[in-house]
Amino acid sequence: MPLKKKQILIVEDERIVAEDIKMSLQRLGYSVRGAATSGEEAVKKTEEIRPDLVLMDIVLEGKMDGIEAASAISSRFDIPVVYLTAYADKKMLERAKVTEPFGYILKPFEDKELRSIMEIALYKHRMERKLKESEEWFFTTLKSIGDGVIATDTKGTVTFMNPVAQALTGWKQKEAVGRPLKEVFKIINEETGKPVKNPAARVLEKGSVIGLANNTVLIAKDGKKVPIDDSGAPIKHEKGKITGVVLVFQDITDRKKKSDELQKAYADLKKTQQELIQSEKLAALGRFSSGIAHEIKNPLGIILGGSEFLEIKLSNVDSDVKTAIDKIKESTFRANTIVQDLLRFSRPSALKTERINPNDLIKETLSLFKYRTPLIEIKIKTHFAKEKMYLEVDKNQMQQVFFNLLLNAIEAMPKGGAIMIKTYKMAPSESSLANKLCVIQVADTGEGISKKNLQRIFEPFFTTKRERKGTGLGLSMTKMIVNNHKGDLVIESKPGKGTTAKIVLPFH
Amino acid sequence: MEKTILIIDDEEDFCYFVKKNLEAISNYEVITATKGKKGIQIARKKKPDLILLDIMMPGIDGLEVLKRLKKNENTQNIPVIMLTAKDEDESKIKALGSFCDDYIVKPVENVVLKGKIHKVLSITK
Repeated sequence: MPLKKKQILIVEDERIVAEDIKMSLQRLGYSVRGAATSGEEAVKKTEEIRPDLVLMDIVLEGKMDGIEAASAISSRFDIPVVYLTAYADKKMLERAKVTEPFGYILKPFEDKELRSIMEIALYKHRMERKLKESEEWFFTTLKSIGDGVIATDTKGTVTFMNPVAQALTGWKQKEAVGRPLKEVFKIINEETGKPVKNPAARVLEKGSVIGLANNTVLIAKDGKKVPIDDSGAPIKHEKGKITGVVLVFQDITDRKKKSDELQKAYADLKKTQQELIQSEKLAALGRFSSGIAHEIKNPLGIILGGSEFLEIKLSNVDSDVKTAIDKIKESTFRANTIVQDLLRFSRPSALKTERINPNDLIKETLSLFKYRTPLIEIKIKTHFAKEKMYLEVDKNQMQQVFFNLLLNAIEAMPKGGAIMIKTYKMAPSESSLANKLCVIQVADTGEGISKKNLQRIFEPFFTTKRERKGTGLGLSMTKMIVNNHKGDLVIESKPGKGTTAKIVLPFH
Repeated sequence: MEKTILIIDDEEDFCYFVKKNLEAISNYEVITATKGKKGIQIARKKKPDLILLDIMMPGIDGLEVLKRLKKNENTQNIPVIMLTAKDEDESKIKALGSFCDDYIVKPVENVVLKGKIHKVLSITK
């Protein structure tokens, strides 16, 4: 199939010259679709016949000269214009230059000259169109993608923003272009609240792709915080020279929310698993305790009997022997207490619940406590919830819970300190349990618990008070009692600062 | 007249010290048996004023011994204090109701033991 001849429109007010050009063009294999003699006619005919190229004489009769006509044609039709002129002064050339012509032909000219200028003009126009299409394609792509894109020059000045970037930052492209990136793309670390180093500067320093650290938050123009994930890459031209930076970022609010939910679910699962292991351990401990209780208590009976026998027989001996016998008896009672605790722990007695105001129960425990444990250099403060609260609890068991927590708090402060007891209602959303909850908090200013020990405090027999004769059953028993009341015991601690125990219980 | 206490407990050493201690701090005469069957025999023969009876024993256990003692007219009126090493036996003992007069959880101090014996003997006098 023969190639379609290129269509040319000639604009020339001298008919003889126009005819001459027409013949030259036809000789060269072009098709001349028409000729116009004025600027106005040229624009009209271009619109009608849509030629591939317009050969335009600059000096034309009428109101519109060739330069004005060329300007109208190139702005309206994207058709290349080549000027034809017999002479050109500097001023005219300057005017012509603004219309971005695809070539000049000086009259008189030869066919060869005409052909090469025409071909170059047609080729240049074809290339420009391709470039324009490719630019449009890139622009549309950048506009359509779901990520925010910001480009900067090598000084870190914003040169481009796509609509997503504009929506996320709150900056319009026209406001942002020319401003420093750090002004438009303000990012901080969510955890520290400190600004994150300008990613464009980092890309320029490194010369390669970078990713942002986790927990990066973008602060939009209106102050709104958006968690984002992003990366930055250098923009390099063909020879590898960096000409700017492109940042690609996305709003990860939903992803973060899902990830947080997943993490929470994982933590809950782990907690349940630990509780299961714990309850399995307790069940095993229960079977074991029950089995050995009899075997231990019988010899304890003999030891005690024997000690008392010696006490009777050696009533007249010196005090050292008496002290020794007392110590044997004391140890016997201690061993007996451990066995009793074990039994109680492994086979908790059934709850005998009654409707109780936790504030009253705490006051009662405190009075009992003051009587039993002399408090030196320890101040106990209370802050009770003003509204009336009632719990359905086993009074004796719950008293034991408070007693154990208070005892732990006191033992954590050998040099004195303060205990703050607080009761309050907790909003359901703060807890995984559905109904309203009562929180009883016992906080001390003691030595605190290390992170390592904190993970183990509810394990039976785990104790840091071995020298103070702790059995390691107090807290595990305390937690078990609270759990049996469908509640939870949470312990938070900072070494050197103190420990806070929170009993969370459902309301009656 | 001296009161006689019979201890039936398979722990021989326990029996020994209880006997020695009670005899030292009171006027009771204490006799011992380390097997249930032997205990029943002694109870029938000697008719003690009170029996201290251990629950967990090999062979015939304390509960069975108690049942047999209460069935026999020679021994049914002898007050019995049950001895146990397990707290959980408490409910079992309570279920015995009037069949036993009291119970003691081991290990037990002389003063507690003596007090309980005295109390039961005063009530059943």
